[in-house]
Amino acid sequence: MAKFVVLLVMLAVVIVLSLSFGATDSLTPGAVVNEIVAGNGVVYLFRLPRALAAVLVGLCFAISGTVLQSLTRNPLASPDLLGVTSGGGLATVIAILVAPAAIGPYITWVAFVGASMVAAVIWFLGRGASAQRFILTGVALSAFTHAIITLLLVTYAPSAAEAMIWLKGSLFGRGWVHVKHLLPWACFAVVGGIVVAHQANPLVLGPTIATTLGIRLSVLRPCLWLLSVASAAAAVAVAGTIGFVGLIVPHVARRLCGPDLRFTVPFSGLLGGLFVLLADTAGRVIAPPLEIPAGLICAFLGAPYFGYLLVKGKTDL
Amino acid sequence: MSLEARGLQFSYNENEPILRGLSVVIPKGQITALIGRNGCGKSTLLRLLNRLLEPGGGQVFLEGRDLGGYGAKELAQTMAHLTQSPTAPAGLSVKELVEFGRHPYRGFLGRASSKDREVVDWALQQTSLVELADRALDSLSGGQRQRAWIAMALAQDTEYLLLDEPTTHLDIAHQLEVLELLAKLNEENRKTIVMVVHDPNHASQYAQNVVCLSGGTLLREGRPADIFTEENVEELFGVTPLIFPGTTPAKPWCVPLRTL
Repeated sequence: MAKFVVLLVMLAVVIVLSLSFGATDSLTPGAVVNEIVAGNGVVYLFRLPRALAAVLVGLCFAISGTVLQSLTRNPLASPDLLGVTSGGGLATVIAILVAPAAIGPYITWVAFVGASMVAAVIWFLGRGASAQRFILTGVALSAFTHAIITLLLVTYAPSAAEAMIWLKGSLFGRGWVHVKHLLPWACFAVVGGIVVAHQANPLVLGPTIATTLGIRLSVLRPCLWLLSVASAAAAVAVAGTIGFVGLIVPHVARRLCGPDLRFTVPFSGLLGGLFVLLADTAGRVIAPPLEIPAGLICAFLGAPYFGYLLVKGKTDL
Repeated sequence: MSLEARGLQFSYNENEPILRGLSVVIPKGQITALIGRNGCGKSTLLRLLNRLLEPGGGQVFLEGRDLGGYGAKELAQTMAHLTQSPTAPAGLSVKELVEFGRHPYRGFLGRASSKDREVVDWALQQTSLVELADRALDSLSGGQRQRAWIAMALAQDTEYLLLDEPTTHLDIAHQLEVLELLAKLNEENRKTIVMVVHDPNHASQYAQNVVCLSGGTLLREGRPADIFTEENVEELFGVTPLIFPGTTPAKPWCVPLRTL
């Protein structure tokens, strides 16, 4: 419990920091509070929704990854394997190329539908088989979808710029509309995650032993998959591909919190939110007025940490 | 009332049936050993008895009821199954593993009751693991680890306990330790135990009932003294044995000498 309190305090501190710093000028915490209470100004209109969107995106990715790693019993599984990132990317690129003018307000929904569809195809192709086969199907189809995305971008280079920006994983310009889009899915991820956590716990012992302990895999597996896809698709729809969050954060959460998913799921959610918010804030502060996308920062931080885990070799990798 | 298979058929692929209409009754309150050559269907039978596999034909009856009618939790409260070479994640402690055995009894969000804690402590005591309860499973010897898995199965508090080659990969002292533990559980707690074993002496010394499978059907079943005769062992394993009564004629020893 103490760990949750520490994490919440850190999250609060980083939220205040992220609201204080920005492209225009830095504000004191007092001024930040005043602006939020007034419900107007740069903090309320831009920085607060962007910070909340960052937290929710990180939360969704992290819970998606935690649930997926439990489902596949593979610590290297990440939401990318579900096909959500490539699916969301493909749908968005096509939509931007076909109807660039009309797509603006609907881009999150287009991405969400595309993400869910590719995820469904992967599930259908790999269903009923081993976790191993499910992962391989995901890798193959994601690579294939990425190839189509690249082909489209190369072929229609000039009009594809907007799609490129979306794909690189950034929270630039995200506002209240995106928070509203994310909030129900984030709630679904947290509540659903905690509800299935107890049933999913025995999966660490493998599907056979889980079955002997009274787990109905035919029910549990689709539930976990659905939870993982829905939360990742919502995050992808808002922020594009922010890699490594869904892969790294579940590891850190397990190290700090132990294997019990009833605690690891909410913990990883908070940790993911903190991580993405930190990355987004750092990206805005490091070299203004240039913004470094949160996705890039996450990869810069995530990749070395992953290497550290491998070298140290003290995890279940 | 017991565990009974009637006309079980099963195949992993259509051309090679593993079980061809196998019927057998597992008597309650006894240790039953399943023996036979590799690929004769011992493990498959064990898995069918616990519904880990669905039979292609035939039925399993548990306490007179069709196994298919049992709820998942209900079945897990009636029968525990220790699979071959189970694996646990790195760092999992003995106690955490044993607590998994209480899973079928936990409520919606999985809170442990005082009964859950009692049974876990009892299972740790039965398997002499109290001192090792907080040690990581992967830091233990093979024999201790196998006892921890048995403790998890005990925590399920079931009438029936199925074990698939519980002594594989253990040195001879640890093998006997596991078998003596099973004998104690059978004697003191009246557990019905079904185990797949390869060593004929493990069957003859520890089981009251021996089931011989061959080619996917029941070859014969009976008390060790009736099963472990020269002709029977030759027919079952294709091996010439030396059979001698030892101290207890009801539990003959069987030394495999050479292949036929």
